[in-house]
Amino acid sequence: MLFVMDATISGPHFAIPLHLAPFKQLLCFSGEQNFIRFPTVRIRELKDDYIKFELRDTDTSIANALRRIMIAEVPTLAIDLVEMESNSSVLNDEFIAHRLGLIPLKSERAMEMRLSRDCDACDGDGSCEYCSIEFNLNVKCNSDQTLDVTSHDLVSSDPSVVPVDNSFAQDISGFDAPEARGVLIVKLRRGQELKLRAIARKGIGKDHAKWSPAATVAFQFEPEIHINEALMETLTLEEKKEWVDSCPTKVFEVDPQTQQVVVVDAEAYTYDEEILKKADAMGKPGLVEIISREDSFIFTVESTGAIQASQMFINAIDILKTKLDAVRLSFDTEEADDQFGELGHHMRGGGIDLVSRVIQ
Amino acid sequence: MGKQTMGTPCQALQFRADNKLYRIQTPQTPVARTENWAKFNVDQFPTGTNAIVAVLAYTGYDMEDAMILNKSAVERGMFHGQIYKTETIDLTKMRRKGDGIVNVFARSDVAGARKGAPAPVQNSNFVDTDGLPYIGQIMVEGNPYCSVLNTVTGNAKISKLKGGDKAVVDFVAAVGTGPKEPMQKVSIRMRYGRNPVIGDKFSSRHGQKGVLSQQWPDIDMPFSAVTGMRPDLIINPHAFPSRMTIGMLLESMAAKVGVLKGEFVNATPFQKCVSDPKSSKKNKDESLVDKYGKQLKEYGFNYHGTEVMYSGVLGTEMTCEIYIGVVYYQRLRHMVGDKYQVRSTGAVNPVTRQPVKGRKFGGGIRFGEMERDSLLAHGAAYLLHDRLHTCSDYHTADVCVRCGSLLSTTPVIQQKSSAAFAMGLGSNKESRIICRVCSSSRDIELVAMPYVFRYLASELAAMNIKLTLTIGNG
Ligand SMILES: [Zn+2]
Ligand SMILES: [Zn+2]
Repeated sequence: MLFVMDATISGPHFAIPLHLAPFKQLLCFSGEQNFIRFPTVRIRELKDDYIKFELRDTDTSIANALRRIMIAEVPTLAIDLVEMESNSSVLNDEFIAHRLGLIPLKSERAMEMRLSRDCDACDGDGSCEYCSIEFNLNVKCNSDQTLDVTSHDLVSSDPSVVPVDNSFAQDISGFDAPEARGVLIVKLRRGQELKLRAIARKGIGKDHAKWSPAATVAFQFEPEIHINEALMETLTLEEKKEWVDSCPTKVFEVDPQTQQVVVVDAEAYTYDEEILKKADAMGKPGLVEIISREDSFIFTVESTGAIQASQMFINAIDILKTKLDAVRLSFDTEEADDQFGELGHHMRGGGIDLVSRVIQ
Repeated sequence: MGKQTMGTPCQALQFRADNKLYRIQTPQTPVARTENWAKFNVDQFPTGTNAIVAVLAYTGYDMEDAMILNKSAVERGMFHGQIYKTETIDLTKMRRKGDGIVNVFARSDVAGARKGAPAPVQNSNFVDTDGLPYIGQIMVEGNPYCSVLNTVTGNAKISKLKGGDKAVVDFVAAVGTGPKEPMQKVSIRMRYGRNPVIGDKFSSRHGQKGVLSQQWPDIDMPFSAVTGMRPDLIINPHAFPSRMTIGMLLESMAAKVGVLKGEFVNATPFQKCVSDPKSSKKNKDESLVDKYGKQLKEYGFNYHGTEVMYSGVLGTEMTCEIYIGVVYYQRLRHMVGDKYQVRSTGAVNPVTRQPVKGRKFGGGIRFGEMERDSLLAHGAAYLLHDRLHTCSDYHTADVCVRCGSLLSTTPVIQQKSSAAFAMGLGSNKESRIICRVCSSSRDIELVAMPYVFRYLASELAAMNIKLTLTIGNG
């Protein structure tokens, strides 16, 4: 399987529905059966840190693979090594180092950077342009007022890699003044000091959650709702209203004019089956039929700010492609059978196909 | 909260020198709380975390009061904690009556120390010239952390870190030292990191305690399609029926409402009995489940607190709706790091030659009567022999068959016959076992027995009781 993206997403200013497609999905294993599908992506909502889209014409395995990769395998940068020079704050060294690690850093560069364990240009001491970015922090409190040390106090050696500026959170109530919105590291009182050198490295969420770019990635199967109109008409208006209200989310509505039950938001349905139970309880089983479409998914992706949510999705596809390539590259080779065993048979299209190949 | 929890033991932790303190790194205040919570300022000493708890059997690692934690949540700091241990070194106790101050805190290479004193044991990285450690220094077993110099002999006594754990020097304090005389007493506080590992113990406030059995990464945990939430903690539904901790289920639901509302929930027990019967007539008959169920529904959640969840591994919908909510969980101070015992060979009791007991000494765990019965019942005789004999106090003794004594035999070194010596066959000495009672070296057999048996024979002999063995071939 191979994804090829024809269109690219760029900028946060896209209007809402954008047709991004067709994903040209090539079948990588020649064989008689043809499973070619052309998954499509339709973007519904796009912000810097949020994307909602539909993924159609593919199956659960792909959808879940993308979810898992977005959470655990899209690389970002995070502080990984902290050298304390002076710490007279109330928090101990490990505590501060851990907090520093969790600060999201702008990680547009992460995809082309090297993992420090794979980098042969350095010994991992932080003075290497391919794998590390150095940060310095030097704060001392000289006033009687408590001093907040925030991510804004981190001085980066690379202007493109800085702590995420979450001033977009302006519309969220309960935050302090905009300029004070860096990630709080520690508070200092008079005379206390914090001085350290930190090295950020590339990594993935599988190694440590601090490298995960995703705050939330979730998908749901698209529901298809069919109301049995004839049976519905046997209900009184009161019963209709009662039935509609039994759903915890607002999926149905009684049209005030026609007094008919209509689907207002099919996707609000959470598969909780409350309305089905209600219909049964009212003695009207089969009032509504709800099918979950096994090939259509609605994704909601939220980013920590390390990379744009849309970029996270694109990177996830790239990573999935690389992983599939690794499988494909080795399937022809001698070792393939040792490596994949049964799976190797599947990849060649089953046992019979294997025999015919041997004959040729 | 209780004596078992790892919480916030005190506010002045920075300046204290308690023997041992447990502390949790990022505690929270519970969402569901009682009226007395504020009255007694419990918020000043928080003890746990509002964990997102799902009640389901997932992967089997939550069987029998085990629980699963979300590895990624732990990596983000959930239930991280430390132990602080303080050691006080008092030099006045080493002082003899009438002597002046002989011992001082100093490194052995300090000026004024005896010329030709042994070089400091590569400890300048750990101990400063004042004989005390650097604050913030990371140490492993065997690293020196304190040096006491005897100004008369010039010898330095070095304290080394014990135990296999990594420690960090947290704090050093001079105790009761006047301005004139040199420092005689210090307290050194070490900090041991104690982040959750498999085998650690956790509990909700309802006594639902469990042992961490596996940490699953975020991607493997089930997720809710609506909110995308993954639980922090998974507990098995079988923990509830027999224990009937309804309170925990109610807390889960109530705190879920509280979290959605952004408000604390009043979880005071017997509220209905105490409240004025006239004022809240309408709500009196409403059950808590109804009260919170209605509110959950308003926020678009299921009335009963359940949610449709998807398997994180497969991405498929799970057949059951999962009861998921917010429960205040505490970390208890029983940690495997402090409790595990291993032994292959090691220290033995010099009297019985049996393995010693106790974790500190690398001892074994007692294989008692009941365990013995169990192996007998299984017919595992070889294993029984291995545990109780071979791996314990296996011993071979020479027994005189004639008189049956195992105490009267002794090796005697004799000159070899001159003929053998003349032929140059090795040493001219040979050792033989003789029985002192029978004055004979014939009929002496080597018999395997537990060493305690020989000890028993000796003890009986001291009481004038003779113990004889009958040796035969059957
Ligand atoms: Zn490098
Ligand atoms: Zn004898």
